[in-house]
Amino acid sequence: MTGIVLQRLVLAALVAAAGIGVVGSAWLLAHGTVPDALLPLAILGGLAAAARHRPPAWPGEPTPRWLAGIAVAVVLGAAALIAYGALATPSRHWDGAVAWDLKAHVLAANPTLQQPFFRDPAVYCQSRDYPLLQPLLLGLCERWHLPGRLLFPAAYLLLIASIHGAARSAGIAGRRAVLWALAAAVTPVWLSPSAGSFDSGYGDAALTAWLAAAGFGAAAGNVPVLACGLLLTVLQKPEGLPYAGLLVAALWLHGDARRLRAATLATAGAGTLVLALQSDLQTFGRPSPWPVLALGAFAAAAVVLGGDAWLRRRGANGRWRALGLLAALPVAIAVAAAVSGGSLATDPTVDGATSLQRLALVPRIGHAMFRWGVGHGSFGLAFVVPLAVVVVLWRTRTPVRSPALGTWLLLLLPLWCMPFLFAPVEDLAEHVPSRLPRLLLHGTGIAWLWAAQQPLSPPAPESALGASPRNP
Amino acid sequence: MPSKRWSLPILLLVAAHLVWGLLRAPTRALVRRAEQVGTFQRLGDAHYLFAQSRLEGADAIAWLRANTLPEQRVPWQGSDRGAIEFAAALLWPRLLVATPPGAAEAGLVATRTSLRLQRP
Repeated sequence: MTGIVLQRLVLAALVAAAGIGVVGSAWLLAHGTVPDALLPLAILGGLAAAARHRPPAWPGEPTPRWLAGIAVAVVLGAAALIAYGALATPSRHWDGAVAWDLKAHVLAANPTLQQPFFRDPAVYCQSRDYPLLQPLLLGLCERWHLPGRLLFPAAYLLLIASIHGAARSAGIAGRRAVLWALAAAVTPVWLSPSAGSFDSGYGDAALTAWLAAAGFGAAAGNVPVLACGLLLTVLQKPEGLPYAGLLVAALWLHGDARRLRAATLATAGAGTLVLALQSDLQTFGRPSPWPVLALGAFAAAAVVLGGDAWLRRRGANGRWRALGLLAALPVAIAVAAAVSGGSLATDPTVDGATSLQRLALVPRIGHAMFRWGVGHGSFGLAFVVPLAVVVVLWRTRTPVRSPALGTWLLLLLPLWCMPFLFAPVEDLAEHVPSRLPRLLLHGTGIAWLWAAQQPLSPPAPESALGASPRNP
Repeated sequence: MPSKRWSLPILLLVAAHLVWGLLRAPTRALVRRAEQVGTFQRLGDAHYLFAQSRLEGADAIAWLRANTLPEQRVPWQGSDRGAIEFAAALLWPRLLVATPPGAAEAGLVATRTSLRLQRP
């Protein structure tokens, strides 16, 4: 019963936020003024979707009441800390103050792009072409005299609910699932008041939550949650589009048609929207090339889904899928470079040839990634635990649950190297500590979620016989 | 039992992370956050943000806030990275408008690490 309520709450929150993101972005793109009614309508839409949603009851032993009580108290206590930090002052760190808060104020005053802040090239606007989901969510709440910054503790709660939900959906007993969720909940970087944390006002923590929600949807086979999680991921920050593309690639490799379809269409739709908006902002409102972008995005989606169906009919194995992905890789990189408008690269003057020469920096970047992810207190054991789980699964020959999520996590590693390959070399030492922790932060939710799902022992013979044939 | 033998180290790791996180929370999450909030409220947004980022020019922001109208445009010139980023946020709803170097009307002159007022 509690599980069903939790899954419905997660869906309601995601549908409401995605509704505001998609409709609001489209409205801005049409050069209109986003109506205040969008907020209550999106909340009603979320509640309606949750009421219609029929999630499965969680298998496995339920959580004892006393333990559930402790867990809820700890998680709500942590959320209260974040809420205090978020509401007591405006953002107290660089990006939160200079970019995210300012745009939220601008959209709260007038939720349209047709104003000098966005349209006058002489007016100073930092990160002019960034997606506007978070400022729009905050701005619309402020217009209703609601504390918009409660979005940050809400994103934290969504993140914990996604991790717990993924573990329980995979049949992990209530007691153990709660232990995992509690451990994740106190991950230092999620609770700290530093730059990039939940109440810092940056977009990174919310992105972590949307990614985890998408991971929960992919793991539990909950297609609406997967689609909404990916829509929000793409609309949150420029990194969101490559992250979503990599989940599509992982689902492709593991050949799950239903989840692949949902992820591909959500990525194509949100990608069209976010790139069209980016172009509109960069060109100060010149007619956006959205029909071309939509045509390209949905043609690519058709190729992915058609290719998947074709390989499925031929009974082709993973090797063919990997070959297909490798063939698509140069096209994907070229398209990403062409449309990223400098968002994947921190220095647009660095050309492709220089970046290739900088491949020699990959071991240095990998070492920094290991040092920050594993040896730095900020992440606790968030990345150590999944590595230990991999060892146990391998030694006990236990089948991996949600292998697509594991693949997704692995595919994030080369992506996280990219900003450093494009950065000015002399800045690498300074650039790594400022950028890398935030990139790693994005993956923490998925890392916890994937590890929490794993059974840690081979299935008993009778349960193996009754097991589901596919579980991406 | 293979199940316990292998799952126990993992559960111990998870428990260690949990204990570590719970022990850190009161000092790192609560005290540090309360200190940040207290300092922010004591110094005010401009002085807090400039001091925390090792920038100079919070007084220029305070002067402009006190001596310009909210709907006014504030001319500026200089570096578009660093201190000017805070100026745009802290002066809202005033808009910062770029002027060519040396223009007599320049209100704010920015370097990466500082802001100063330039009156014609």
